[in-house]
Amino acid sequence: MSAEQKARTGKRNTNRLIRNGYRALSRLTLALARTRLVDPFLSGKTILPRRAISLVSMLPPAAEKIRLQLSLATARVKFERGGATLSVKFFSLFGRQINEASLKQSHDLFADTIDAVTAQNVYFNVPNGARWISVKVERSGSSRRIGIHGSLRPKAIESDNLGSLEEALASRDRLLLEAHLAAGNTAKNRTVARRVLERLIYLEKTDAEETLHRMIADLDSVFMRVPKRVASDETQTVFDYTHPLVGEYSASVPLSKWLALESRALRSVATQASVHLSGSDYAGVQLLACLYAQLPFTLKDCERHRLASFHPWVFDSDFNEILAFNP
Amino acid sequence: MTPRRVSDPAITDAKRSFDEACVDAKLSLFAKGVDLEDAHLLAYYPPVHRNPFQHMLYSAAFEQGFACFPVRADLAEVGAPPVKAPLGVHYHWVHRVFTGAQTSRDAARQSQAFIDLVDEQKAAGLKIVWTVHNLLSHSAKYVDEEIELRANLADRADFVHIMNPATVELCGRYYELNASKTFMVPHPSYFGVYGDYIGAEQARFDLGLTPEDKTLLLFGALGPHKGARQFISELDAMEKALNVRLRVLIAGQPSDADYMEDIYALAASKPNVSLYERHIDDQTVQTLFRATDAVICPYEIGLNSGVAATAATFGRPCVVPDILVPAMAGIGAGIIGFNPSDRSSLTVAVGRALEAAENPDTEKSLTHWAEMHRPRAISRSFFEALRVRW
Repeated sequence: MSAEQKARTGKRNTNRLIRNGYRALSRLTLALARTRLVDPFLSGKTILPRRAISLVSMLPPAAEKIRLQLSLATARVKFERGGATLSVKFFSLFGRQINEASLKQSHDLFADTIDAVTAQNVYFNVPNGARWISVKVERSGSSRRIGIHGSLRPKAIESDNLGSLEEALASRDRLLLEAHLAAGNTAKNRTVARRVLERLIYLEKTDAEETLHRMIADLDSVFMRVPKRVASDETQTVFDYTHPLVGEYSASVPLSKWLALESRALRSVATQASVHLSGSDYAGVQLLACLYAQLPFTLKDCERHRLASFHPWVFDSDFNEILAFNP
Repeated sequence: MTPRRVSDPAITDAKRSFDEACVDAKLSLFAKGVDLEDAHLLAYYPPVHRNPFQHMLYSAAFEQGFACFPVRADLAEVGAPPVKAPLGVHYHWVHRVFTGAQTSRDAARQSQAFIDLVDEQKAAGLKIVWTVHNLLSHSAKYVDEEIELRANLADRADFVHIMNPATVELCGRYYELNASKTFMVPHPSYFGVYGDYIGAEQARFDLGLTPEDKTLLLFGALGPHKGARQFISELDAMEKALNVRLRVLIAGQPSDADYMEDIYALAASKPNVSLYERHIDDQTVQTLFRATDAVICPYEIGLNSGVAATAATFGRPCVVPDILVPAMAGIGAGIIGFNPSDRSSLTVAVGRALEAAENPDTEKSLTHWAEMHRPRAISRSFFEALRVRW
């Protein structure tokens, strides 16, 4: 596209935003906004200027986490991922910048199509000692025409109302989605967790969430595919399986991989033996290893109650069918 | 729409944790037929992507019962493996420890933190392997701290891989290497690594060189340590002494803006110097080397040279500092040393390299060396040597 065509398209998009109630900032408002003490978006729906807009304000008292709510619009026919970027800096009471590398300090915002604009909640963790915040919003590309509505003043988080799962899954609200993820764990429901994680990955694609999603999907696969019953042949030897053979299971490893290794090691030392499971915090994984290795096993009653303890996303109910088949 | 973020430019599973990499390593070795008890794991740090050295060195690992994997995120996560297995950490360019240091105090602190980690790894039963690529890093900014770092690592390393038989002696100027810990496995050639299907005539034509042009190549990252600046400034005198009109190709990624300004200023007055200041991709390397009569490594110092090994791979004679010659043992007349403290020796060496280029036996002997030192063979030697000592 030539520069002339680009300019024409840009103008057409700006006009479309104006027809839908978005206004360019006046020179006076823009000048006031440059002081970083005036929120220029308070006056209503605004077209985001080419240069970034910043606002310095006090943080809500004692807030550990803050929320900013903005809605963005694009004149294009499809929504734009990363239409604008919101970033924050925190300062102490006396203006010293507080950097905490572990805290996320910027978010890409979606710009919705004009007829489907929704408010987006963006959350930031507040570092210790912070009293002031500088919030900056800028277009991600200079050619983009983005309408904006909302405020750059942060709010404390008040409500802990979860709402429905379906609402959360349709939203872009990380806090809401994280709450549903935690609820999925409490309710021992990996299906909910996977749906929430899929949404979070779609929105932001963080490594930690992709890894957790992969781990949980792997657990589902293990419990779906593991042979539920082992033929109990007459065996003369007993193998006392007191602890995992290849090392203690770490929840940072997909269970299926660990089981592939452990079951091989088990098969090599307990060929044609009956395995006696006892005394381990890893009874659950050891039991699964027996099933993978197709070795008959016996299990103490006391172990039955802690089979799921080796992984936060494994639940007692996962073993119901296995225990029913292997009394 | 904003493109999706890619965490790591290498085509590997960047999200895989250290624990998972260890489990994958054992499973892969088992699939290769290695006994679970005999499966050796080697984590390496820092991983580099554009330099194929690590891929080359580890190319025969599986055959020898080793699985090698990069430490991507945090060196601190490398500790006792989650599965029972002999595990080592293989260190390469350790000056990376100084990344981000603003002062020598920062550098000393970062160095100490790194050595503390190495101590923890040793305490956890891990073997420490170190490949000494250089006496000091090319662009050493914190020289005292780097010497201290290397001395500490040399002290702690269980095995030290050297690629130049003179390494112990040469390093002795700065820090002590215990000879009983060292094992010598030479730098591999780049046989089969880069694209190699273009003939010399085509390559010269592509670069606008006439068949008569005597062409020299200076290849690799463009920084003060590579000697290109001094080489260009000496070019007129060299042409006069050798009575030949030279064409010089300088190709590589700039690594220092001020230095590049000097290069631009010098090259501007020399129409016979062509500057390709960019990363040269694996398919383009052949054009530069095939088009060249001789490759020049006008370095002040160096223990090993990937550029010299690349030159040999393409059958091109190479001029290197004297101390680098023993690292290319068996290569014959295709490697020509010069004394960096006597610049006239560089001119003599360039003259000899151009003579060697005209001898058809030179290319044969160089490519024979390259075949003998192909990555797979060198990798096999490396792991055999490591296994014997483990």
